[in-house]
Amino acid sequence: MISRMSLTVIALVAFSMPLLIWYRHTGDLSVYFSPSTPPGQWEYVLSKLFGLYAILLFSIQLIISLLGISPLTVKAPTKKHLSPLLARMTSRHHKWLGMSVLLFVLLHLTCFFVAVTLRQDALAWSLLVLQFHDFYHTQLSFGLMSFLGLLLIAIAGILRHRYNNSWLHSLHKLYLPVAILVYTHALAIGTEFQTALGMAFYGVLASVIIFLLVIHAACFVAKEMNKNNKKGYVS
Amino acid sequence: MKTLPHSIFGFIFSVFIFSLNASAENLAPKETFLTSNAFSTWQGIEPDKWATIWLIKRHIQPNAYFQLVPPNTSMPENAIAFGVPTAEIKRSNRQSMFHHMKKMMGFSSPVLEAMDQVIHDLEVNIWDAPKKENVKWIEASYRQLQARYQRENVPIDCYLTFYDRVAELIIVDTHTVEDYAQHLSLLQECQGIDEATASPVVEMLDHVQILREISLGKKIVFIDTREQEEFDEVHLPRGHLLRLRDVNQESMKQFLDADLVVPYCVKDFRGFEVAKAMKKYGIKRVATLSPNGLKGWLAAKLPVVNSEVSEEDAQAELLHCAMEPEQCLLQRGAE
Repeated sequence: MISRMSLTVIALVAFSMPLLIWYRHTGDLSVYFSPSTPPGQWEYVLSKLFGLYAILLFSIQLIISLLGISPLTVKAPTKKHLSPLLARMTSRHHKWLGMSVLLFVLLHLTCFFVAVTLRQDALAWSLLVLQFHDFYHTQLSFGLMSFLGLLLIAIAGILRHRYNNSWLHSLHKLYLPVAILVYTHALAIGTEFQTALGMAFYGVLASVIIFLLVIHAACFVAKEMNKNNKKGYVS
Repeated sequence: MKTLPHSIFGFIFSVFIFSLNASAENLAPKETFLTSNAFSTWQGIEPDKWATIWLIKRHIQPNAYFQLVPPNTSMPENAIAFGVPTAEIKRSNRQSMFHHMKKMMGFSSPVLEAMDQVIHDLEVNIWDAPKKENVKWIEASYRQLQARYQRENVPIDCYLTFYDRVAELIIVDTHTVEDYAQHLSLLQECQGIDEATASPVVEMLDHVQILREISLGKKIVFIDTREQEEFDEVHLPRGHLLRLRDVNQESMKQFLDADLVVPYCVKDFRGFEVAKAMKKYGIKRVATLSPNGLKGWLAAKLPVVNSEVSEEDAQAELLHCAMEPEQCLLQRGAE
């Protein structure tokens, strides 16, 4: 059984890691308030911090959600091995965590928009347009698409309970392609994400997600095969 | 009997002097100077060297660019060397490099003759009084200009402008010392290095300043702080790929001898972070670009390496532009 204490320690370590990764490269923060520092630099480094937290929160959301529907946890004998906190995860918690992801992504995007606006002394509207003419803009567009995808998932997630529409349920499952986009964006142009510490930390999170997805997919396939076998037996 | 050794000695000495002169006059054909626009010489501050550069630039090869390498180092193979012991165009005991160059090209205009005399008086004529009083006025202004740039950092375009002014002044005999001082001060065009400026977190240099540093033959390294894929698409000549995550004691060793390191990215967000980190690791002079980054560089239409332009071509184009930065930027802006 994972004790409350262990879970608190894991959570503390997990939540301090993005700050640590970010601070290792950012260093003395007073530099950003010097008059000689180019405009927008502080907003840029803040944007990176929010980005790192957005991925952490998104990964946690995915892990908890996948654990919640995973055959590893839903069955009573295994459920008791999980912390009561995880076991008590409700849709309300899921909603709030999802909103936090959206908030941090929005902060990440806003800070970057402000940074570029200040740097070029003109509103950076071009950042809000999908562009694929070179590597950098393609990766920025992946980031923007991730935000739009998350927004769509969040709206579908809220509405699915209200209208109980299967189409909205399917739309909410877009989390998988969005997760791929998020990680691609971070891996391609996320400076801190690609540091040894960043790769190790986010690598562990990504591995857990992939592991849970594989288990989930394997069980789904087994279930489908079982269903087909039963159908064959009946016929 | 006593006079015979003297006569023999005198004869040998005359032959020696004659051979010295003959070797100095036996110069490369002038066509050599019309086939290439790349020239090289050692870095230096002598009036003769810079007058010769002016002569090449203004009268022989307007497209010429110069690779100034540290003294006592070998010359680049692709450039025409001058003013070094192995070169054919160089100063001799009795004549300036400017004179040799002028003679080889067959120039004989009144301006160049007067300029030749000035350079001769400044560099070769050590013992006799100069023919004209203006020589010391020119020298005084020349030294003042150098003093404003810590002697060795005068941009090429400042030297060229200086000699342009000298050429205008020396053909008129009525000019006074005040006229010389006023026209040769170049206080507006070449303001010098402002040491009083407070040291910023990271120095910012505009394109003209960067090009001037290049023109002085300094070791300038551009650091591309973007990702490999972005670097492969387009980068600055002399660009080295180095991401923020790669900045460490080991990776900094290759830049310790650089005179100036210029990290850059698209808008210099990453460039600034790398510049800050490099300063921490003891790189003596780090600066970012103004206007910011590759975006500003491309907007100024300065040379870059991409799928169509090779590293060598972009470097040659950059050196060429560095000769007269303001003119180059104006021309490129107008294109």
